Amino acid sequence: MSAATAIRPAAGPPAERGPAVAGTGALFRFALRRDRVRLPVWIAVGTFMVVLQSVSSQALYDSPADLAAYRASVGTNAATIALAGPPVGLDTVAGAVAFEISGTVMLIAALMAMFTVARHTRADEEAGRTELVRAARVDRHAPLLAAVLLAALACVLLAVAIGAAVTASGLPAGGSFLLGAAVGACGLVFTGITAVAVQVSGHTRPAYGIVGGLFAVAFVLRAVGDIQGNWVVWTSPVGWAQATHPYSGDRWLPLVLCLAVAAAFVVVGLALLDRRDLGAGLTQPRPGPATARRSLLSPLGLAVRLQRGALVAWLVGLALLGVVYGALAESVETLIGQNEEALLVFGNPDVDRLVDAYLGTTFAITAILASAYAVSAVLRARAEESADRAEPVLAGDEPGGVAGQPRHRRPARFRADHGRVGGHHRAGAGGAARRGGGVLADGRCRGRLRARDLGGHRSRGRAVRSAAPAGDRAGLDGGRPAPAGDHVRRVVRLAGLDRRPLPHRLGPHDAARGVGRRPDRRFARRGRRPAGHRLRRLAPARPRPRLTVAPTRALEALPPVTRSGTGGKASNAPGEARPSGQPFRVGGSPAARASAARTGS
Amino acid sequence: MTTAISVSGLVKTFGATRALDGLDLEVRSGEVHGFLGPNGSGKSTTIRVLLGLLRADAGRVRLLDGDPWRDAVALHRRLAYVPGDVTLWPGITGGESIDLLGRLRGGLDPRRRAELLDRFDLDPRKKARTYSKGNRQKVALVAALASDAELLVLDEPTSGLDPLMEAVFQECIREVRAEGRTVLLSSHILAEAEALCDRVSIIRLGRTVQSGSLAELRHLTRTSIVVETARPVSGLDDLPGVHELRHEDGRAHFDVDTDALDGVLRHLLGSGVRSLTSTPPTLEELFLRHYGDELSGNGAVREPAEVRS
Ligand SMILES: Nc1ncnc2c1ncn2[C@@H]1O[C@H](COP(=O)(O)OP(=O)(O)O)[C@@H](O)[C@H]1O
Ligand SMILES: [Mg+2]
Repeated sequence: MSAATAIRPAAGPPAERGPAVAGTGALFRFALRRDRVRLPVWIAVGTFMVVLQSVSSQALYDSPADLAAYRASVGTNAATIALAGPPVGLDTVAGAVAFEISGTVMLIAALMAMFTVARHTRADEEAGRTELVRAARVDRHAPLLAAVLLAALACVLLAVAIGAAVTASGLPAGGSFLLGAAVGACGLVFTGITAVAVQVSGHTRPAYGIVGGLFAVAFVLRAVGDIQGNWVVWTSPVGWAQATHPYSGDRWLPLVLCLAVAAAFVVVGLALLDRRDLGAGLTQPRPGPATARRSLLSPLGLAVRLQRGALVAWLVGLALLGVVYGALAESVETLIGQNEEALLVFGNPDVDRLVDAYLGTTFAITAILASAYAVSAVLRARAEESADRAEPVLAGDEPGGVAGQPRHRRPARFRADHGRVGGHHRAGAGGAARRGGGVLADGRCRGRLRARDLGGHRSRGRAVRSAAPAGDRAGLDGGRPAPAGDHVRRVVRLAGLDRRPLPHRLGPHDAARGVGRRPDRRFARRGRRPAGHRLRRLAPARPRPRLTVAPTRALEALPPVTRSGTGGKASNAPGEARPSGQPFRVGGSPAARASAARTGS
Repeated sequence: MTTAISVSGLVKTFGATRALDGLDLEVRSGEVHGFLGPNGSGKSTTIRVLLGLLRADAGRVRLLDGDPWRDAVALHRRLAYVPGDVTLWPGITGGESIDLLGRLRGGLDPRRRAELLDRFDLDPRKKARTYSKGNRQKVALVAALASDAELLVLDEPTSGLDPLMEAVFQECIREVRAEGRTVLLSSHILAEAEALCDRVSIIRLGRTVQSGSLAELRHLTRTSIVVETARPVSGLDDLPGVHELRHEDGRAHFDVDTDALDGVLRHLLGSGVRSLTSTPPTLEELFLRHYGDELSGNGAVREPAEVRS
């Protein structure tokens, strides 16, 4: 060999040491092409939600009296604040829009950022594609930089789209663009967080877990801060973004904090990248057992094992969330004490009932989260298929397992096993649903999924929809079958696609309407609902009863039902034994019952 | 420059696993170098270190006179890589993947690309999702071979190819060598290395156990001989380098150390040779001996004479 002194041979021009970003541009364009459908959909969904909120709120609160009542009701409802944001600017419709929808779109922005960054970094790396790419003239940092740029672009576009669309819907331009910018900034922070998370974990799913968990923590911290009205908000990126107070305070400064922190995270991510091998996380792999335990030796056992980590993480997370929600129950009293308007409207409210209503609402939120896990558990089966790992399991000959099924049912059984893990989890988290909901939901998945080949992807959307009932049933209906459509509707409502104000989207409707009816079999079987339902939801607002105190009154109506939720198996309030098979009765005043029934139509 | 790759004392650990344990490798410019070893012996790990994808724990690594970790971008302009397990983007077609990889590397020759697609019988319009392992491998091969890289690093490139495509592949590698380019070809398919390689390095458990030209390695190997003679041969047993002698139907079957061949042949001539079949040593045999070594639990490399008797 030539005396290895010349570092660079003649063939390689010195400039070829190359910028530290070589290949970023090409990878960015390629990523853009891969996501040319995905990102516009994210952006459209986020924008659509805000516009929908804007349009419906403008229709709903068209008189000062409406607004005052609204302000009074949300100002006293800790659950609403926990779910939405700081109760500021509620003296204008625009402020109410920002209050109701900002938290939800920030979640959308964070998820968009997370999936975008992870998809183009750790997921590619885990699959082995990055190895091909990095063997080309591509800098170590380029894939991460390209992914971050793409996510940042998406966040900026989302911000602009929200600003423009909401302005067009009739709200002040300044506040609208600030709202958009706040959402985008929150997305940017989570872009940065994901950039770090994909370095820390050697696999994509745990990285999602880290980011999702951090979002949950951030959201809970801001909820605590907003309910108590103190500094805790400032420990949370979501809190910073919401501290912009669009339409009221119009503060742009917190966004600088978001940008700075986002940039810091990206820098940390890039630095960590230099410290690790391709394909590895920050920790070295440890050897596992050489032989499989008995419990692993069935498709269900495998599913449990594959999902063990996620299962534990979700359980711990939801338990912690429960602790936080429980700890905040006291604040409900305080809030009412502070809110003069509320005192005027409610007179001297029955605080216990409000606390119960609050707890019921938080339980609904927890149930939604549990269903999110159930959906991801069922979708795991899909991931196993597309990675070709399902094939050997399905081909296996394990008695009583997949192979014991008739051939055409094997893929369904395999998926059902994954779904079952989700089902069991839900049973654990949402005690009330212990009764067989998982099996029912499995049956539905199975029926629905049986129709397609292994590896096909005709009915992915259906898998999601059919999985939603699995987790969602944990909520308010004490484990008895509720109309299947309700579960989907509840998710839709909480996701903000419902145009009604936030308090309306929560529990009481479910309680008043959903309980005790037989499952809607048509929906269960075919995964669709009569078209009329859909049309009604999207139709322009029908004449509605003027909003009075309905939200909180409706919550008052809740206690017998919510106790069933919080009390695990004991599905009724003490002393109110309910013969099984009979619907819940909705307690509370006649007015509350009427209002619950009205809003629940 | 006469050395394309120079590795000495390379160590790489993954947690408790010592994947490379003082590995040496020397690849000269313009040669096709076979990089042989059983599964899990560290071939892919070595190659990833050479590509700057993994960081070495210890040892000296020079690639095209650069540092593979520090100068990765510059060096990758001059090499092309085909991984052992090619994964592509599911929704992207094979043709698009080839173009992307080519562009990232710094361009590829469209004429050559078309010609290779034809030779490998690859439909570039199919989405990668629908490709079999062999077809994904072809995508990476076409992208690598259509480049002007001076060094090709191929990690078990034929593991998914059918025999027909393997023949095409060998043809391509011969052309590449004729153009004076360098090839590092990792494989456990020994016939392939024999057909293509000028020199080979054999590794096991993260260490190099043998390295040299095929000719140099022949002294470690034995030629199998079947000979039919007019008069029974006697005294073969006593000759040095003769192994596993047996007589059947008036024929003598035996293996002979390649460097003892001359003496044995002279001895046979005295008995009136009627027919003689000699089977040249295969890398298979060589390989099995090192591998057999491992099985017998002996760490050190021994001379072949001691391995089997
Ligand atoms: N990322 C990794 N983490 C842990 N161990 C690894 C990793 N990559 C390779 N190894 C181990 O290093 C050894 C060499 O592997 P590899 O280089 O892939 O072998 P080969 O390519 O020769 O089949 C094996 O024992 C393998 O298990
Ligand atoms: Mg290998």
